[in-house]
Amino acid sequence: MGSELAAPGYMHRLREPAAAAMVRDILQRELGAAEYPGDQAADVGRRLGALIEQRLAAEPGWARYKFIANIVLLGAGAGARMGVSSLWDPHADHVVHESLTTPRLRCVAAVFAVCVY
Amino acid sequence: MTEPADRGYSTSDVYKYLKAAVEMAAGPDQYQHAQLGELHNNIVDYATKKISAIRPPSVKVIVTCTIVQNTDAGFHISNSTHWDDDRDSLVTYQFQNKSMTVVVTAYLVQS
Repeated sequence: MGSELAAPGYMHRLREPAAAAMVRDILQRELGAAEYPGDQAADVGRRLGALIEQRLAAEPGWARYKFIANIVLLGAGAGARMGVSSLWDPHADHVVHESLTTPRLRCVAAVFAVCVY
Repeated sequence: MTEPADRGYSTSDVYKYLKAAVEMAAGPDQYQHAQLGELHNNIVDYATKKISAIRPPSVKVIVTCTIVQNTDAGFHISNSTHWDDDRDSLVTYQFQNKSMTVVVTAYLVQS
């Protein structure tokens, strides 16, 4: 049994505030004061997800993580509820979620970072 | 749905449990926001418990559930992953009635 079975050390552990800031920055830059994109929603969601997981995966020190970006785009006026349940290592795995709301659009991005042993 | 050869579980079984979780919990056709919490918890708890029983211990499971009221406002859900396509899986089930759409997704990640 070696260190490869342990959770990442301090220098290689994902820091949730830093990850959240990256996600928030991408949402604000890409969506700004946008409206619900209609027929383009699939492309917009896909692009946001790709930008987020590529940004996090490129971060030095986070190489031991697999990333899953879940993007929800909602037009104004619909009720909704989102939630998650996980079976993982609470000491090594992380979830970050950010949302952006405009008068015509709500975007919620949830990113799961799963550590590989 | 292609079956992974040696992941230790069947994505068909995961899909079956997601479907059962939603169909068991989905109630009357009328959207009632105050009851969404209970509906959501029932779906996620059932699905997580069933999937946990069939997966190897080295596979981590994440189950998400999104419930959206059916109105003229649109919605869309996207996923993007940075993982091992040969070892990790995503299974999703969508249910719709007159008042709401339920999308439940299970991510199974080999650690």
